[in-house]
Amino acid sequence: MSFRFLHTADWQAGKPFGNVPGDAGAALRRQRIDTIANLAKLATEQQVDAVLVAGDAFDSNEVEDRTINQVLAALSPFAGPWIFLPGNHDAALPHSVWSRLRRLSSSDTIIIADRPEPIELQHGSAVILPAPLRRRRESSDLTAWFDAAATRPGAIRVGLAHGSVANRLPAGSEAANTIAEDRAQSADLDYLALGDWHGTLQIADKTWYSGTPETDRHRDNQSGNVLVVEIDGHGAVPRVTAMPTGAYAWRRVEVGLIDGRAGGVSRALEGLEVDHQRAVVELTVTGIVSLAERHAVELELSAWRARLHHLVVDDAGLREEPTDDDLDAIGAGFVGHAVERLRAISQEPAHQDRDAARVALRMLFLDHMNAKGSQ
Amino acid sequence: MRLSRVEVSDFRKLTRVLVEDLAPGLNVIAGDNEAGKSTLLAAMRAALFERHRVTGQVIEEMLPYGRQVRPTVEMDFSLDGSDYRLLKAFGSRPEARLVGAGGTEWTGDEADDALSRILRFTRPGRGESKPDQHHGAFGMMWVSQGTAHQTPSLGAVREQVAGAIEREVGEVAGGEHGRAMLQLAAERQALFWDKLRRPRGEYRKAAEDLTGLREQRDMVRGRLRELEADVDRLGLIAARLEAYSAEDTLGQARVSASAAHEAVLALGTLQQLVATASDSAALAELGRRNTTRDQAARSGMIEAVRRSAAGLEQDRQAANEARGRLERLQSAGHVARNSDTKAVADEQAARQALAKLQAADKARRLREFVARGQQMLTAAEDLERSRLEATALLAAIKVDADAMARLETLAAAIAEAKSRLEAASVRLQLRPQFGGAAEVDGVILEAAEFVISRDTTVHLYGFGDIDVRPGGGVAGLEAAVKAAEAKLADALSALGQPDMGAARAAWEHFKAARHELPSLRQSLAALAPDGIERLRFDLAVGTAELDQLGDVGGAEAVDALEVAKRRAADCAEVAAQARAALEQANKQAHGAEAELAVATDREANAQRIDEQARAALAEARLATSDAQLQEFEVVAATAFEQATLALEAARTQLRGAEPDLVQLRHDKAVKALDATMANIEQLKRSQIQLEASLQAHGREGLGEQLAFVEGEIAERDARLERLLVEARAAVLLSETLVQAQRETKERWLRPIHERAAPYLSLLRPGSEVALDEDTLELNAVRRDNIVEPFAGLSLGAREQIAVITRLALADILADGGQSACLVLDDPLVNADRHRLERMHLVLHKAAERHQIVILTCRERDFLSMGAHMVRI
Repeated sequence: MSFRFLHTADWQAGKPFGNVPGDAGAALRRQRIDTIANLAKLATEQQVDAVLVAGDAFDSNEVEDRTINQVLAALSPFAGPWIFLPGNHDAALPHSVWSRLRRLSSSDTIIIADRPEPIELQHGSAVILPAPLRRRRESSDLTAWFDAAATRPGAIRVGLAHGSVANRLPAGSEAANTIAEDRAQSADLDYLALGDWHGTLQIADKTWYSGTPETDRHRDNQSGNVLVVEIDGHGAVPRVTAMPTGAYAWRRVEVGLIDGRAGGVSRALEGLEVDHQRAVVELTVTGIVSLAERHAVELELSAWRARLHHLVVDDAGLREEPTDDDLDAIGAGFVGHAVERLRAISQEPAHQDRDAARVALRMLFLDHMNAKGSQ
Repeated sequence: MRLSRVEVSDFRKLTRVLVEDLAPGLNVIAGDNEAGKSTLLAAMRAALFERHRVTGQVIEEMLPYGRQVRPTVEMDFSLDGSDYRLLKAFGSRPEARLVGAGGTEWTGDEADDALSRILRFTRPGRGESKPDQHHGAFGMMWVSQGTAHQTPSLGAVREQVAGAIEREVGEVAGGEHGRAMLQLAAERQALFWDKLRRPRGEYRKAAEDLTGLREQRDMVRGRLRELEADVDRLGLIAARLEAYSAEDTLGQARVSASAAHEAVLALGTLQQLVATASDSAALAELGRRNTTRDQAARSGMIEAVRRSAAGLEQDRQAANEARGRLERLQSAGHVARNSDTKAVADEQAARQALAKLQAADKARRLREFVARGQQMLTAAEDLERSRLEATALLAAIKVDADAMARLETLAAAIAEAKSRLEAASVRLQLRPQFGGAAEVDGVILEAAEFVISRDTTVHLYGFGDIDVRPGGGVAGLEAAVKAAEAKLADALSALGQPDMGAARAAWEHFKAARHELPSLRQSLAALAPDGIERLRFDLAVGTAELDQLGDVGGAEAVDALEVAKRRAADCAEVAAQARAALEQANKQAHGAEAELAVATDREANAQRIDEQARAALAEARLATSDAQLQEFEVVAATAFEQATLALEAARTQLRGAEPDLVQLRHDKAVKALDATMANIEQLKRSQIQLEASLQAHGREGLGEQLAFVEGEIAERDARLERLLVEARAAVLLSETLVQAQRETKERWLRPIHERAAPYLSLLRPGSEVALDEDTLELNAVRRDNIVEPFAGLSLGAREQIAVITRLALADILADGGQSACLVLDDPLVNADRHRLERMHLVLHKAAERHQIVILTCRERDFLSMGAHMVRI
């Protein structure tokens, strides 16, 4: 008997996006719930036997009851069973979001795998071996018990864990709650469903991170998917299919304006093959431009802020270099002298007013344009 | 430009003035007041700057008053190395002719245009030209009278001066655009900072918002920490409960408690044994005491029998003694009773004899009483009669004191009426002679005096009648007399008195009877104090008593009576003594009887007690013999000894079981069980409370709040960072602009300062003029970093500074290729001698480069200057 399930993780429901002000932030918050509902619909469409959530379904143990209720409501398109593994964000502490969820829901198809005990599905033909986090950080490998876990002969063994697979993840990733890289092999698992890494990634043989179904940060890691996993029987090779679920595209864009010609920003953003209204963009602009071009870049950015769902601009690397044309435009006399002085300050790397001088040059140019416009 | 000749004719009041041979340097054109110096300047201006065909008000002002002439000005001058001759005529036949270098000639409008071109000025579209706007450099350098103290107004020449400076300095001033940029920068700075350089507006709000968010974050963090601490506590509690459960702490405590309880129960059995032995010992003790007490009671009873027999014997003897004493006393009583009987008989006889004698004496005194009473009765009856009579008289006589007084009044009234009548009556004295008589009212009268009180006819015998008629109301008086008399008669009649005399006699009787009546009453009272009837009664009683006594004699001597009395008294005394002796004997007999009764009672009582004691002893012995009693006592003592030994054995066994230790262990086990249960209960309660609290906190979503606030802080932090840079940039921009402006200004005005410096060093060493870099108008004078506004200087100083500024500007213009002569109309009228001399030096120095023409009416002021002097 085959076992077909949906592997997902890191929903982080209740993540507030406080750094995204206004309606944009509110929409991102709301989308995390909507994506869960979409995921539930997908589970029904794919006729899966279960949905395995490999940790961090909630952003924290201290989310509002409202958030828990919203998640419960979002689960309704799929009847279950839902198997939730407590992760580091929602660890099964003595009091946790899970103890609250149990109070708020009496559904018997929602299984909270908060104890390291086998969970039999399909009359024992498939067994889930969970490694719940009962603290936020564990020093030992919680999946170790999988090796000795007894199951019925021929049962499909699926491990469910949350943490970092040793030696496999990219540098810089969090190294807490480590999981042995050969756990699938040592525990004779048919599949090890992992959570914590937000991108979709096969990390070892029969070992996958599903990633978050809704991207929540600017990191180029193939997030925004769920995995449909089908295992024909114990020992069979699992068939894993990534299905896109993310509504918002988080993109990092770097634009170098070295050529000093306007329009570079727009070209780079136009080149994003995403729905602009659902794009959350972190734009880094570097280069050396004239004051006039700097002004033009500002106008461009202003227009793009209105087009994109959210735009964060890092222009610390964008330098203004007043040209003769700028100076001619701004005018001779003492204003020209002031421009020269500010430029000199802006070009001194150690000058305390370096950044202020750059902004002052921009301001002067803007004033100049405004004054000219009003004449 | 250099002027060499000016000829003016028919211009205002000047008919003709010729000034020629003007020197290239300093010239003074002197003239008296009203000589026409200012008109000369006006004519020169008209010649150079007005169109020759000018009309209207302009030409009107050129014409002398009331004359239609042709104002004409001729000027010879040189400019930029070329000589020019100008002829300008205005009015009816206007003419303009300019002859320049090489004989070039312009006439008419061309001449006007040529002038405008070579002198670099523009004319107004119409009307009179204004020096500061239309005369080019000459507007500044030709100064009218009375305006030399004003700041030079560059007007149209400003651009020429600025151009000259820019060419010299090599840069331009900021101008309007620079000012606009400065203004915008200042406005931008004000968006971020207030005047005290404190953050404001959006910048300040962003900082405050961030502070608020950080406080909020810290608060949420604090609460989350509390929450996490609670979660940890909950974990610890769960772990402890789990440990209790795993180790079965409660079960073990229960087992310990149960074992301790069993030990306590065993201890209880031992204690029960001790209690039973103790009870047995107590019973044996009681039995032993009872037999001892019975033995003692038996001895007591035997002793009681012995004591009651002795007491009976004693009481019996006492009774016999009492009986003997009574008998003796009864015998003495007989003797006394006999004596008493005899004494009583003697006394009786003596009393009888005395009574007889007393009856006789009483009869005698009764008789005396009856006889005396009879006398008194008679006298009293007499007095009573007299009293009744007097009383009757008083009742019969009605004339009492009041009636008598009334009668006396009426009688007095009659007498008074009569007296009046008599006084009014005629008193007729009849003294007949010859024995004659007279008849009056039928009464014959002889010698007499009578009174006639009414009309009366007196018949005199022998004479006839004489009618006497008394006058004066005699009739009334008479009637009054009669009326009074009638009243008296009525009164008397009412009193039953015939007349006044009887009345008076009756009044006297009345008084006598009333006087007598009290003494009669006193006498009667003395005789019969209780009344006559009482007297009569007493007398009748005495008589009756006497009759009752009969014949008892009565003639016995009083002595016999006295003897009989003494005898009776003696007998009575003897009888009294006998009676006292009898009573004494009786009393003693009664006492002896009482003592006997007591003794008898005691004897009987002792008899009864003795009988009872004997009966009780007999009864007791019947129940238990004395031997049996002794045997019982021995048995009870043995039983007591055995019970005491059993009790001691039980106690020893109990002590061996260590009851305190068993109890202590029991208490400890029970307490341990209680404590374990309470601890588990407390832990469970805390668990429930913590879970409830965490549940409540969970609803608030503190985690979401914290993450949200931290996100906001990150975003606001970045924003504030941008604003901070912008705020610093705004300040930097504004300050940089101001600094650049100041430096540029200083550089740009330096040519003027440099030109003015040599002149100022002559007048005010160390001073510098301050000009607006745009208008180039004179603002102030600066010396030693002290700035004096131009308007604040004295009139003389202003004249001098303004002239020097003009000279400096003229230098710049000249250096820029545009030379112009200076014409100053009375320019230094307010200078003191010292300053004037200095200004002469200044003008001399300036004249080295420029032609200077001074128009003045103060010739002497300039005599010493060494200028070319022209007089008009």
